[in-house]
Formats: sequence, C-alpha cells, structure tokens
Amino acid sequence: MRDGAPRHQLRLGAPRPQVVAWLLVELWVLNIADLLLTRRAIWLGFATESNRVMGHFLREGTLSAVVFKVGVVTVGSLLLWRLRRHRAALLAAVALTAFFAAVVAYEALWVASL
Amino acid sequence: MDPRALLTAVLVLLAGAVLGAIAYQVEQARSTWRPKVTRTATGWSIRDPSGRGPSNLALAGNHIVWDSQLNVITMDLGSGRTKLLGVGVDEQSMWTPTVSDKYAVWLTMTIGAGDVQVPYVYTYEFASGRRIRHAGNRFEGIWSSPATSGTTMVWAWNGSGGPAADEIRGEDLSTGRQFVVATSTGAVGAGGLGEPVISGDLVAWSPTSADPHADPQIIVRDLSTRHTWTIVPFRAAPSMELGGWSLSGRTVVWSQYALRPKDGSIVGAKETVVAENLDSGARRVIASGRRLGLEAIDGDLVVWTKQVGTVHRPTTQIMGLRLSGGRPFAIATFNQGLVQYVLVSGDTVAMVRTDNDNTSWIETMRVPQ
Repeated sequence: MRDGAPRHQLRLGAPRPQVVAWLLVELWVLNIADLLLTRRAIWLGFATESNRVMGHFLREGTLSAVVFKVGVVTVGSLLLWRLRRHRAALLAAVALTAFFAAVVAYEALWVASL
Repeated sequence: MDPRALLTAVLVLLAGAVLGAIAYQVEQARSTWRPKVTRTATGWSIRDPSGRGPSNLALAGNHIVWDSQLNVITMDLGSGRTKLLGVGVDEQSMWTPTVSDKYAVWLTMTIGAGDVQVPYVYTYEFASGRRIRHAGNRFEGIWSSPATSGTTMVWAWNGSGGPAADEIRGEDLSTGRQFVVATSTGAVGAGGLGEPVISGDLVAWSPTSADPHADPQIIVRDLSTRHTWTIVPFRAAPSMELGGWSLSGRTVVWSQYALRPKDGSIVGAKETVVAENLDSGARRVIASGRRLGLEAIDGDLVVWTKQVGTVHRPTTQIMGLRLSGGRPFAIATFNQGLVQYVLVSGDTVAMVRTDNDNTSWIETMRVPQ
C-alpha cells in the first residue's frame, strides 16, 4: 500500500470492498455456470460428480442440487462480504473466483468439444 | 463505483479462465481415448495406443462406431477423423453401440437414486453433431442393445421380469414416436423374443423357445405393412445349430452348423451360409465347408470368413459374394492372427483383427470391384 493511500485500498488504487463485491458477484455467476455445465456433462454421460455431497443432491434431482449449491456459495459470499475490509477476505475471494473461473473454462471447453 | 475495482475483478476472472484453458489443453494432449489412425492402401488401420482392444463394431454408410472397452468412439471413413461419443465413467456400464447412416446409438446403465440401475439410451446425430440422452420409463426393462436403421431404433424389452424379452419396441428418433413391433404370446413354453436387428422398415429377431425340439426361427416384420415372415432355417435336429444371422434389404442370411457326429462339438463342424430372399422365398447356399464364420450382408454383398492353413499357421480369408451374380471372391487374405468381427456396408468391409500377441485393432478396406 502506498504512503498516504486510504486504508482499505489495493496497490493499484481500487478500493478493497468494491473489488471483493465484484469478485463475489463473479463467483456467484460462475457457481451457477459450474452447476449448469456439470449437469450438462452428466446428462451427456461424460461425467460423474466427484464431490460426494453434490453427487447425492444431483442424484436426488436438479432442484435440491441447485438449492444446496447456490445456498452454500451464497452463505460463503455473505460471510466474505461481512469480512470485506480484511485482507484475508480479499485473498479468499480472489482464490475462489480464479478457481471457479478455471473450472468453468475447463468445463465449457469440454462440453463445446463434444 | 470505482472502475478499477471492476477491472481488478475481471483480471482475476481472466487469469482463472486462462488456467482452465491450459488445463484443458494439457488433458487433451494426454488423453488416451484417441486411437492411432493410419491410412492403408484400401482403407484404414485403427489402433488404440493404450492397448485396449476394440469390440462391438458397427458400420453404416460413412461411419464406423466401436466400443474400446471403456469409450464409444466413431470415425468418419472419408476423412479418418475420430470423435469420442461416450465414456464409461464410474458407476456406469456401456452396452454395444450401433449405427445407421444418420445416428450412432448406445446404451448405458447408470446407478441412480436408491442404487437402482437406470438405463439411458444416447443418440448422436451425424449431420448436426447433436447428442441426445433418451431417458424415461420406456427403457426400464430394456433387454438388448438397441438396433438402428435410418431414423428408427428398436430394442427388446422385458416387462415381466421373466427370463426373456416380452416385446420388441421401437422409436422414430426424428419424431419421438414410439411403437410396439411385436409382443410375446405369453403362453407357457412359448419362449421369448430375441434381440432385434433392423434394416429399413424390416425388423427381425430369432425367438428363443423353451422347447428344445422346436424348430429355430427367424421372424421378420415389415413396420410399414405389418406383414410378417417366419423363416425356418432348418428342421430341429440335435446335430444342427443356428449360428449368426443378419438382415439387409429383403434378404436374410444365416449360418447353420452340422455338429460333429462323434461328440456333438461345434469345433470342426460343417457350416453352411445361406441367404433367403423374403419376396420370392428363394433360398441360396452362399458357402459351405469347415471353419467358416462371421457372415455379414449389406445390399447384395455377403461376406464371411474362411480359415485355411493349419492350426499352428492359420490363414484367414475374407470372402465375398454378390447375390446379383458372380462367383465368390477373396476380399483379403491374412497369414497371421485371427479375424474377430466382419461387417460390410456399401463397398467397405470392416473387421477386428487380432495378432499372435493378442493385440487387436480395426481394419477397413474397400471391396474389390
């Protein structure tokens, strides 16, 4: 952080809470995209859910899987939002968003190649 | 709202997406499903680099489909381009794929809710590249791999839970219209319906019988007129056995064995390949002799294998005969290994060959004119 810069500001000048907010929005959208692409890959017979908990919900039906997955990420996002002024919250949001972006890009390329 | 915050978030998103794309490329480069395809003088040689032998070949038009014991793969016979159609992932087993000039069809059994096996039939439309998973109650009780011709798919179905199929069912893949081709009489000792094959509007099956003295039969039903033919290849006899059979156009071809009188063994039995025209009822012996096998038909071309040479140095000939006229001719001769499957479509013959070291691969070739 530069000398004299506001306390909750990144090195390039963007306010940390706003970055966290945008990252959490992206994370939420990516989470939905991951769910849709996973369901599509499973529907096509190309994948099984490796997460046992999600696998259970997906076998029970789409609605329960949507409620569980969206619920978990929403609760996690709200928690990070409450901690938005902490550096750890920013790092967690960056890591989760980058990870989900990687997963969704991988899944999208896979499904598009079929 | 500070635009730099949005820019930062987008950069994180892009960095993750790039990582995902790199992971995808690395995985594709290391994937093991892709067979090694080599052009030969008259066709293609298709080998699985991982050593998994191909099985359950299907051939129609310009497409060949097979099961590599894990994946369902198709190849365009014109370009040699391969495509992964289906994978045998965990909790899923795959049944024999079939192919028509329009669709590839395969069946999987997947463990669903309550650990119940759920059948899914998948179709891949060659023209559009569209995959469809056909689910629903209609496949519960499916008793055979589906067979397909044009846009029609048929399969044997067992709704009673008995030891054999009760019905032959069908579906028009372009419209989704479902229909029943045949229903078992349900009489005691009537046996069951067999695994169906389809060619155009004709569906054929060989019913099983509980009576060991019953004549073997091949039933053919025309879907458009409902006309039914019952072919009795030979009168039941302890020394006779029906081998494989096939249907194309208006012709049924089958092989029948005269078992060795000494011990009733099929090894060394005399085999006769016979073709019958449904319209005229004319029956014709295509080939006769020992160590024949694997007959297939498409249009007016019948192909079969013929083993010559010694047990230690077997030579396999792929033989062909055009029903429109002419004499049997050799399509290919192999001095090593065995031929496990032979299929024919148009002027293309496809087979699975096995070398002396048990390595299997697919070979296709043009039939000499």
